[in-house]
Amino acid sequence: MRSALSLLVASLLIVMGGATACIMEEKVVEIVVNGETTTDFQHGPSASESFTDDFSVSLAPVLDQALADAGFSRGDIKSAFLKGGAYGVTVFSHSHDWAVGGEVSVQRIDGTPGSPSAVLDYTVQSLEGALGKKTPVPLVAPGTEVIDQALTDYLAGGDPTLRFEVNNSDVEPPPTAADPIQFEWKIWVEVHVIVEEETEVPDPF
Amino acid sequence: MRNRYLWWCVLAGVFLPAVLAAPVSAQIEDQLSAYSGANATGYLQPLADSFGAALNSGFYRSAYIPTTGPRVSLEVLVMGLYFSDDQRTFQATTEGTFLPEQTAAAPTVIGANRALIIDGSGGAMYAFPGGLDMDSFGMLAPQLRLGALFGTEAVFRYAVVNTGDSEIGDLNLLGLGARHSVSQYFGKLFPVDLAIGFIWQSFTVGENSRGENLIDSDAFSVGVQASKRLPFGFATFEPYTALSYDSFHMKLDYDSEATGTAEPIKVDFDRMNTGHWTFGLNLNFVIANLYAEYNVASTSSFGFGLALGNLGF
Repeated sequence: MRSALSLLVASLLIVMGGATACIMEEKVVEIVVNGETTTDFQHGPSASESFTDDFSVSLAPVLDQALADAGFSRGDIKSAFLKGGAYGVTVFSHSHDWAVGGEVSVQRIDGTPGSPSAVLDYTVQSLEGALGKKTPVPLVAPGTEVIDQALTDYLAGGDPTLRFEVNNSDVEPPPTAADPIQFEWKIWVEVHVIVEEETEVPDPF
Repeated sequence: MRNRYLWWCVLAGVFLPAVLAAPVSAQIEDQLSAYSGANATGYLQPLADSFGAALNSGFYRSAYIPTTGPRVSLEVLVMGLYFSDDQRTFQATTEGTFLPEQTAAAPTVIGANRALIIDGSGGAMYAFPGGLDMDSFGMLAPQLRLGALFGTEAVFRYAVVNTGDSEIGDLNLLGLGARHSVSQYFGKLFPVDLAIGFIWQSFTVGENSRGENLIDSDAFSVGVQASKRLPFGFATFEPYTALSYDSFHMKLDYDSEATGTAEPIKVDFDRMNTGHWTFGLNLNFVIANLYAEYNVASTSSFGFGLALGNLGF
């Protein structure tokens, strides 16, 4: 009886041990990390319909931090690309609404500076309607190509720097000295980064 | 010596669920970070189906329960299933600032390991995370059966695994059930053994960044079982079948970065209720018992296992 029990338990442990070794499979899994940079602007008070704001982004610190937060590093990246952009009004206090229109352009300023290319296009946007919201904006292909090329250079080990410029060209109703436009707003630029991770996955049968 | 072997068996039973489930829980948190609630439900649905099917199997292997007398068995249950092709993708919708919003057949947690990339307006691109590329799922649980009193027995499942890894977190399984012999009231001429029973279980997996359970689930099954013991050399051969009603509920609590900034996401899966038909074969030795079964339910599965105890008497 005792030897029969020993044989039975030993058989069970052998099967379990073998199962443990063979049920785990090494796999490379592609994970998506969201990278984002934001900038706040304060505009006005101004009596002009046309105004310009700009900001610069050094890609390496932004993306390195996003990757580090997710537990990855630059060497884990398979590809990266622009996913989208958005804007929102953070402070707006007027007796009436304003509708604004314009575009955001982007240019490389590391190495030999490139020329500005439109990347975000916003038309007839109500400031009151954008208050407290993150409103996606359609991308414009030439600017997207600039950012995607910068991301490719980042993957190759570089530290591209991008300069974004907001060119507002239209305000309705037109502001005046007696009724100047004033608001604070924010722009988001988002990228998707695909990283590869080796992991052991159970696939027992 | 016998005690030593018994402890090895217990340790193996407790350890293996961690081997099977812990890597999955650690990995899915990374995968899920790209998704908010709606997509997370579709992404993890095959895993929810698997947990439900696994937990609600292996509760019985015989309808025979003596009226009185000691009845003890320590059991190791193995449950497995193969994923179907339609479980490998789900209809995922783009999130965040990507325009225009689109729906695509993206990998589920068990789907292709490559990310799915789609094109948007103005050169924008969007990536849905890949899956773990799994063909099958397995779960192993220890189970203790104690009886019998007035034709009733109690069933316990319990496993606590501290992986010692803050990323993976712990696994906790607690199950309580009872079965009662119905055929004892019909006399010895009744041709088969009949029993009714229920089991309730709680199963938690992993830990999120806030120290809470990544996956929190509970299962309940109630049903009727029938079996017939037939002589088979020095053992008894016992075909069995059962009909039951199963219920399973799963909640997920993780951090999403789908919108660009980390935010806690709680996903409450719809409670899954399903009819469940089991048929299997049981081989009773003097101090051991082997079984194999197939479970037909909304997610069909198979199971096998071993019990050490006096179930064969």
